[in-house]
Amino acid sequence: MKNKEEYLQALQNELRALPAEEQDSAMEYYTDYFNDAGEEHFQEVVEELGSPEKLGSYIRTKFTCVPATQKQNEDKHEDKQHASNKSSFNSQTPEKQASGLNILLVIVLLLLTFPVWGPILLSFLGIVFGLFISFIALGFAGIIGAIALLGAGISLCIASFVAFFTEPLTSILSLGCGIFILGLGILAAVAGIWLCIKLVPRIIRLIVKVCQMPFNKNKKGGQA
Amino acid sequence: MIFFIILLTEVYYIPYSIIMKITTSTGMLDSVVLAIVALEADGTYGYKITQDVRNIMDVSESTLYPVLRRLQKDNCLDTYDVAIDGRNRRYYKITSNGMIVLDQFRHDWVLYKKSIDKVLFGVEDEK
Repeated sequence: MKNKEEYLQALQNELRALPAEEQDSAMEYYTDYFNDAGEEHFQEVVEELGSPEKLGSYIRTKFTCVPATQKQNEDKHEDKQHASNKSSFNSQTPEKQASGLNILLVIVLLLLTFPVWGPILLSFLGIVFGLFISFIALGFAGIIGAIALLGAGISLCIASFVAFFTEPLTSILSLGCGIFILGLGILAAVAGIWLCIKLVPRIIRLIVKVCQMPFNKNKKGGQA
Repeated sequence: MIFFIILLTEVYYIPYSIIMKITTSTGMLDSVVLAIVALEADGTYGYKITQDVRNIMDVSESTLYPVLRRLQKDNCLDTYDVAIDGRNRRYYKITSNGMIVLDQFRHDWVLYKKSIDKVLFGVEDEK
């Protein structure tokens, strides 16, 4: 590459596929760039930018479809807006107005398609709720079972003491059974209390998180 | 997938959206360019921006134009031409919208830095 005119001419040829506005902008920028770098830095700049073909194809990949990049303030409703992104495509209108219209469109769309996603959402919520309740029930069942087992174990032990004088062997057998049941009761109590204390708050937090997701900036929104 | 992300954010306390915003290459570069343009009250031009950015980051010269153009389209930067040496030089100046975007990034950066510090150095702050 001998001089900047040649380089810029080659670059111009590379950018033919772009909209005229994009071509002008890029050409203006790189003409400025070479002028500001000065003749003495021409070789350095060319080495850094690469061949006109390479630079041109890089610019083309960036601007061929001219996607309107997501604005920061749109992030909140990003998941809802994916469907209507095309309408705000390259628009010069104020952002507020556009996003307001988009939200309205999304709401109308959501209402119209309610028969489709409604049952899915409801059944999903039902499953979550059912799991939640069953975990709580498991915890309570563990505690109630523990109380019953402890009661049975204690009464068996007492009964075996009473029966000791009349039927010693049976009494010892039932004492063993009583202690075994007591042990089971303690295990059940530990399991039940653990379920209630550890698991239930975690599940509640998880559900709260999932419900909050659509309102967060997270891209992986929930069902709603 | 949702549960996996919840687990990560729950265990490490790193907000998911911030991880995504900063680690995508554009977020950081955009903000650095915005900050550099914001330093010049009277605006600055492409070649100088490129040199300033390359003083602090290892980026190729060719990546800067798309960034500037995108920021311009997002109403973060304003351009105007100034006659110099018998030609026009294009100047860039930050807009009020650009200021807001930059401020948001500063805010995100503080949070991000804190959580990375915590992971790398085990610094436990009041949580």
